Amino acid sequence: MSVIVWGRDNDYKVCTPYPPEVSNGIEKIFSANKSAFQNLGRIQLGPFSPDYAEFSIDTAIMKQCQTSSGRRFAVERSIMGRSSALAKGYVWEFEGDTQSHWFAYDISTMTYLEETYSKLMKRRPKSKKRQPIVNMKGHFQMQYVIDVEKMQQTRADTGKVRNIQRRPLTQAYMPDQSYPWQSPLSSGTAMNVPVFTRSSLKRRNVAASGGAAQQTAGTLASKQQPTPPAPIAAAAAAVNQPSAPSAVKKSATKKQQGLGSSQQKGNAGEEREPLPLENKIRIVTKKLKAARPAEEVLQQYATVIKVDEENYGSNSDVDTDEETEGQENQHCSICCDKLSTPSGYGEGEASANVVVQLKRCGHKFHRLCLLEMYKATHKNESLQCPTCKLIYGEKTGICPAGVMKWTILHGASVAGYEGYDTISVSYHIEPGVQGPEHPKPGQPFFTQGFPRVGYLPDTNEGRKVLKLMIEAWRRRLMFTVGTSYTTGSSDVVTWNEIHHKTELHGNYFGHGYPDPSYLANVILELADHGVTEDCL
Amino acid sequence: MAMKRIQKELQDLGKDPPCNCSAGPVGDDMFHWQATIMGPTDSPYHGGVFFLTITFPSDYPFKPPKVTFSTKIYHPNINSQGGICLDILKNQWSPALTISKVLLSICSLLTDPNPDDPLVPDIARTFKTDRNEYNRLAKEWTTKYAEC
Repeated sequence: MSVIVWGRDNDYKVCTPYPPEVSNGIEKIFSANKSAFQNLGRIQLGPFSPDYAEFSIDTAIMKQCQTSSGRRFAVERSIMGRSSALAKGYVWEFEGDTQSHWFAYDISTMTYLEETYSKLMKRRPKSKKRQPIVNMKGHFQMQYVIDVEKMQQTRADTGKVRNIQRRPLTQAYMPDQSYPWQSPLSSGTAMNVPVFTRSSLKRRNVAASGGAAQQTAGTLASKQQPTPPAPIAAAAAAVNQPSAPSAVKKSATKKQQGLGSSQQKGNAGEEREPLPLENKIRIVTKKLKAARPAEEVLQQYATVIKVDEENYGSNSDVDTDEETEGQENQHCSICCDKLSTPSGYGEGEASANVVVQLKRCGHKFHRLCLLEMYKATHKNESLQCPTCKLIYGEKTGICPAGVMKWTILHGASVAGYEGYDTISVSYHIEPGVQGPEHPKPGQPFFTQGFPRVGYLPDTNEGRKVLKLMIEAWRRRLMFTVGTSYTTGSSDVVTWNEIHHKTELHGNYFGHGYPDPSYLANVILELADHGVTEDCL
Repeated sequence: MAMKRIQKELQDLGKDPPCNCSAGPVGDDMFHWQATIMGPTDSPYHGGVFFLTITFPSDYPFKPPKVTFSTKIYHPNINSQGGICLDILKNQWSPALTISKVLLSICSLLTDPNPDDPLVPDIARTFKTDRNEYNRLAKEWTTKYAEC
């Protein structure tokens, strides 16, 4: 059973839970007032626990205030899953400077600790796989290495050691069994859903198109958009045209925009997009089959249009027609040199003069440059045009083996999709050894924060995204192995630019709802990887 | 070969410098550059000069360059270590992109932060809920850390 936990930011700006008596007290007031909560003004925390006598919560700004110091910290309401320590009835604490004076860890560190701890408990005592160490270096600016077996925390820079404990709670947190405060709003209620103008599309185009980037990036959106490659265009069209029959078009469009719709799920006559058949999808990483030679792959997607200098180029004064002159000034976007001069790869060789043209998008490159590009990726027999990003063949990724599961959370809605259930998608990947397709073959790779969970509204559009996500997972595109931008650690499994909403309630880390353009954006991100409705 | 392409980019930057940006090698090492970005006029970063470090991988341009801010900046997609959350510096990199284009994209990120994919959730929240406060803090940091 999930539990509801109220907490407040600590000095590192991460959420530390209130003890159950305080959290449950706030929750009772919250559930009694629902949306009027923010008009309550000040809630004194003293009545819940004498330790909090000088603290209060200003509900209008959702901050905790301390009477003596005037310091304010953001307050947050979280739902902790049943595998979390707090839901199991335990709290992780570290000892303060005074002996036997214990302080609770923040919610996110507790998640890491509990995950490591429960894995440790499951394994046989003599198994070498035991890893009692949680390295929190780089997480939220903390410098700790925590050993959940010795129950000690060591500060990396000073070496200071503190005791830690996993203490049974004397009182349980309030269970999250129903969502009474989320009952569908009566029609006509104005939802306070902020509408953001997303700039990511603008940036995407700056990024994807060499030509577009030559304009001033900031003004790009208002100027002409570069023609998107075919898969993106297809996906964009799909966004604009609800695929559901015309009878439901009106409501589908309304919901798509993420307006707080008063429509209840399962309206009579509404045809639902069917859910995928499987709800547990395992990917395994097989040994790569002997890949076809790079030259052969290239031949499939590109045509040779120039063999040597005699066919066109600066030496020839016969070929002076317009087209040739244009070609002479064209650049290979890989080496940035003119196509009329040899490729920087294989200088001095006759083959350095060969120019090829990609068959569908028509962009031209030195053959050796394109070959070098293919060899620098994991050789998956697909090719992506560097200029327009059109994908030739089926793009696959390097996501390690793991399991993806999805399930419907009945009665739970994400903000902006009130009245709809929520699809919860989870991924689990175990640490392992990097294969030949990874950056450092033979070296270990690590995982952080798994299982990772994302949430989608259970609308037709949401179900469509779920199917596309399953396809992306099958193609090993969902995660990649490399350096994490969030934590700075290397050789870790990270998201691969297909964004997930990882917060069911609230938007504390900025990866939650409401975000009216999320579904449309994620469809574009999937299309960037070549995963579109045509693949289903 | 990476070297040749980097030299080519340096030449092109000299011939056709992007507005409000500059970049070049720090010393003799062509794989290690420094860049500057002038805060865009239509942003709270206006008036500031921001320094960035650029490191090219040995297999450039097939892998993206590592670009980080060395000047502190108050922005939802740039963290305290100077790390930038920008898709083209990660998996949306393409060999057709250049440092010049990357710097332009970063300029555009300064003008239009992306609060729905934040690297610093706290700043993203301020950006969404209290735009005046965000502008005030971004200006304050610019004055404090980025003004010459």
